[in-house]
Amino acid sequence: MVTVAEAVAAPPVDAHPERLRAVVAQVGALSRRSVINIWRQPQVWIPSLAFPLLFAALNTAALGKVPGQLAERFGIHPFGPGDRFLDYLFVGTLIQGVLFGSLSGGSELAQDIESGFFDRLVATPVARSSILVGRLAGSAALGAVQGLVFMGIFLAFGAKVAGGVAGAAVLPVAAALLALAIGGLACAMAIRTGSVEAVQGAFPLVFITLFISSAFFPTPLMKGWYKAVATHNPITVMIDGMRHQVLFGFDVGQAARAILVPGGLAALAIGLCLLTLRARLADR
Amino acid sequence: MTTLPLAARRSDPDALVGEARVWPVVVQLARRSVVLITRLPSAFVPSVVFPIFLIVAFSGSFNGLRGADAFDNAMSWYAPLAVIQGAAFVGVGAGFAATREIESGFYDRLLLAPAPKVALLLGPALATVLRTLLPLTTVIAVGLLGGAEVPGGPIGFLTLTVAAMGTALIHSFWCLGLAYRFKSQRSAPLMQIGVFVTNFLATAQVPLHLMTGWLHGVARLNPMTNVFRLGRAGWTSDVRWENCWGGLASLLVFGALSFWFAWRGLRRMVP
Repeated sequence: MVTVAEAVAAPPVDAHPERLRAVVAQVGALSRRSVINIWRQPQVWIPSLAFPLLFAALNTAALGKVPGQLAERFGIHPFGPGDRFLDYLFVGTLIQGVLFGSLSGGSELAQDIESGFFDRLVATPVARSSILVGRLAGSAALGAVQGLVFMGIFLAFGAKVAGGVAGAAVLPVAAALLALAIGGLACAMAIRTGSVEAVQGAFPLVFITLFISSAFFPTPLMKGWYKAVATHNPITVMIDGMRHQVLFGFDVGQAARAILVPGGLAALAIGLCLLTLRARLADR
Repeated sequence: MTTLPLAARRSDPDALVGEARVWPVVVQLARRSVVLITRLPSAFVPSVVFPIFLIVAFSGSFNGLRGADAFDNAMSWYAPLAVIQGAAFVGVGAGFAATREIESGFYDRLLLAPAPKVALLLGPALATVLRTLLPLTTVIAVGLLGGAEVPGGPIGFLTLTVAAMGTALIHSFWCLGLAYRFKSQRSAPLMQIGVFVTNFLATAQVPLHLMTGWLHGVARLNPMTNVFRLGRAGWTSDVRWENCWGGLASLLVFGALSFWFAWRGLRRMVP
């Protein structure tokens, strides 16, 4: 197995196949370091698993009667055809975990900058993009694993995915892409500020973005400006696409919404990351 | 201006730790804590901003619960929650401040001062009550602007004020007790978790009749359910004694218990 030191020490080569091989090795080694880094710090990943599940248990017990009551009184089914709050909450909980967990990639990068590791890495002949891709791969991997873990736990507690295997497959893919997007934004912030505190300061923004969406309650039941903001929030568009797989069944159009929105955000975030990195290196 | 050491040393040196010395020290400690609002806003701003976010987010997201018989007016239901949550975080702030000063060594100097030790508890407690006025007024203003109604009239504001200040006091004593035992800012998550657990395992989000399963059982026994009932007494209906006495009793009992917890912690710190 190629270590970080071996991968980044490889001299730059002109021949394209060798160069590509070197970059792949560097990305692999840095990604592995990023994943191991997260795994060795349970205080980083346990809260992003435990808190969403705790809130899910709380909300299910607090609001579990609501879908049935609305269906009985008004004949409406904003929580899906089964009127099951657990199924409705599944995707919201998954996204909550991903959003909270993916900030850790940025925090780790800021930590590398504060500790001087980033400067040592930049001084090696490693491809600049490898530094970012390696770090972001850790966030994406955490997002995908969270998606699978949440799915397992929700299914164990009686949630049903109407879309079957195809619908279920959409969820971890979308989760990984969203983790890439949020991780990318956090990394851009880390490169710009070089401060762990600044990256962690973004947490309330993520929390607000999540809350003013359809994550926990359907937008048709909201009103006024809050409803307007929640309806047009990209997170709502993505969540509704994912939720369709869970509540109604597999649908290609909805699956595309679920994947293209975080995919687009991820592309923007990675672009921003590369620009910020270039600006930081140009300042030296 | 009377400074803290002067307040502690003033008058008869033989009666330095006498009963008469308590209040000047309490007032000076409280004053110092209130002044910190302007000098260290980062430590206080969350206790105002977070409740405002809470009232906006909860009343916006869960407005549709009106149709499920949860409440008539979402703002009226969630304004007391946001006020009480903000007050609880003001109490947590007292614990944060104590851990900061224990780590910096300032608390050792306070402990060495010839002042009654109970003043070290009552000073932050008085400050907590005063600081609670800020989330109380801002959240009530946001709530009223957002369409909250107070059918109980002025007494409704009074019951909410009592519930908020009582909650702030309980959390300040609880967090001071934790600070005296852990002596580290690393105890901060434990202090915050206390707020979330006690509030959200009660009727913070929805009324008791809407809850199901384990949460219904826990919320029914949780004393914070009574405190929320007291806080909402004039906001969701007219103020009636049956909505108030449980909250008042809970505040008294848990106020006494949390004071005892903090006092025991402080006594352990005194050499």
